[in-house]
Amino acid sequence: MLRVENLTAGYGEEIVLKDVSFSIENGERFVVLGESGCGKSTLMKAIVGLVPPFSGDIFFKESKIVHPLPEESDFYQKIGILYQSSALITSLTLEENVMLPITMHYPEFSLKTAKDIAGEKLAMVNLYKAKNKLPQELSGGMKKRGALARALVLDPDIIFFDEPQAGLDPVTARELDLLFIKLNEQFKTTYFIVTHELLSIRRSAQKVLMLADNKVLFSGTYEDALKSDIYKVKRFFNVDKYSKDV
Amino acid sequence: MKTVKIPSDIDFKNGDKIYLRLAEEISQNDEVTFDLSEVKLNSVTKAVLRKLCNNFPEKVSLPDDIEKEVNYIRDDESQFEEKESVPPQFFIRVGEYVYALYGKAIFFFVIMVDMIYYSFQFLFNKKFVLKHDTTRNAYYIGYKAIPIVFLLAFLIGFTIALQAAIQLAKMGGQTYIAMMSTMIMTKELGPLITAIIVAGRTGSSITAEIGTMVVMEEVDALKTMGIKPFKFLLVPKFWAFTLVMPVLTMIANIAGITGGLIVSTIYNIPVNAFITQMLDSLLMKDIFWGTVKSISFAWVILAVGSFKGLNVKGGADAVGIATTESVVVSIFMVVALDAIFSIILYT
Ligand SMILES: Nc1ncnc2c1ncn2[C@@H]1O[C@H](COP(=O)(O)OP(=O)(O)O)[C@@H](O)[C@H]1O
Ligand SMILES: [Mg+2]
Repeated sequence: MLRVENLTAGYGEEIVLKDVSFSIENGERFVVLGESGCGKSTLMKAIVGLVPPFSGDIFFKESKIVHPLPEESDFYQKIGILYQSSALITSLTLEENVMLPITMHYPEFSLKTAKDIAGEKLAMVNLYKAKNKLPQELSGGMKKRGALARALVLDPDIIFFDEPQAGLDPVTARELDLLFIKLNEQFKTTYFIVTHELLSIRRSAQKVLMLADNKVLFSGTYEDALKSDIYKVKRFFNVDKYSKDV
Repeated sequence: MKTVKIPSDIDFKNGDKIYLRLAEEISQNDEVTFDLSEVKLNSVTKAVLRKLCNNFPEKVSLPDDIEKEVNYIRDDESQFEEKESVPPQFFIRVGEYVYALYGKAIFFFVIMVDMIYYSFQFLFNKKFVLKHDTTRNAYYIGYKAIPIVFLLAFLIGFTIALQAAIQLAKMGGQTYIAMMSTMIMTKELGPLITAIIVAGRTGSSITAEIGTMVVMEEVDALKTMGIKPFKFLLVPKFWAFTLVMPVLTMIANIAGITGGLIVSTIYNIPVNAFITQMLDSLLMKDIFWGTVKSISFAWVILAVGSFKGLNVKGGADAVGIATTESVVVSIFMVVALDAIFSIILYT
């Protein structure tokens, strides 16, 4: 579904990721983890072209993606992204935000049907009642759910999540995780989740990719990651046991 | 062998004075030992001891246990080590500055061309632009600005006419106030006053709006939803600006000339005489070029505002800085462009 080969990316002249390779199967929940600043967001942005990669190949459904892609490219209608800051457009209501991809790409499409579809997606994330609210009137968890509804609206093949639990309390984070998992199992949409929340990884990870020192440190199933002998992987999952005391 | 007693009451208030006293005491003696019997190792005391040890390394030393507490290990210095910076040569500095300016100029030019291209392309392809967004923008850029534009243009028109009238009256020429007001407003001040107000009011808000959208990842989100941020954000503003600026300029002209009218009534000139003369001095050519000027000012303000907004990197402080720069740069460019127009049109 998504295959990345020897991807090297960074900012200006600074290399943040070097020779990263992995592949994601259809419908899988693929979790990218690692310490803060190791380049998780950069990897996601490189794949979607917000930080055009220096070198390497990206294959999406067996066709090669060459960045920078123009916005009109089909690729952008087949992916959904949940940004760390939710990134709902502040001047539009929740419903208008969710409808945005439809109204922008299919200006001829009936507005009434677009509204209906937006309503359905908002109901999926339990936000139907808040559809006329502006983003700034919503709590952090609600914004995340609203952004998920927007990401879902064009029925994407893959959804990228950038630290979806950041800034949420554990109870809300759990509800959000369970919602993600439910929708993943219902629609078989592939998930690419960037996170470092252990609880969330435990709940949702099927495959994991761990980044450290600009490279891939571990790649495999979640169960194998737990059994890994690599020191940094062991330490990540058992911080108290393996870390030196300060 | 002199024993120097380190007092127990060193704090932020007296630390510097005590250091100086101790340093002097040490420098006057060849061999020194510290009396640390009463010492309290607070931050200031530790800093004083460090400074003494650094400045008189061959004279003083601390017992191991205290030394361990006083000196700290600077963690992983290599990571924070500043790059050795040689102040660059004059020509290199100038070169770098010019190069950076060149880069900015190119980017600005690209924005300007893209903006005009997408705005005209929009007439044939309505994709990526929200319905009613142009009207909404025109409302904020234009309608909301009418009172302030009217008021300022009126006051400036009035003040200038008054000063001119005082001088003209000395030569018995107060009957020319109408002509002077009309010409100066339509040729120069109308478009200029309007552009400066709009740059301060709307140019800044465009930068703040787009800059915040960049910081909040909204621009990224637009792009990855397959929506051209450029078209989505700039086209409605472009058309709103293009439609609204000539109207605002017209309002400024009327307000400024009204200021002149008030002055000429003070000088006992009949209203209909003023109006006749005003209509005589109102040239189609001036109105046409005034409109051209006001539209080009509008495009400059919009391009500068969005250029500064799209270039924001960082957080809220970066948005603030960009907003200030946007106003300064766009007012400068408007005035400079106005000077160029004057040279071309009236010399
Ligand atoms: N816009 C940027 N410009 C320059 N460097 C950046 C930028 N964004 C991130 N970086 C750098 O790239 C590295 C990886 O950042 P990031 O991918 O955000 O990490 P993570 O998401 O894993 O916490 C960090 O060292 C960071 O300083
Ligand atoms: Mg990140």
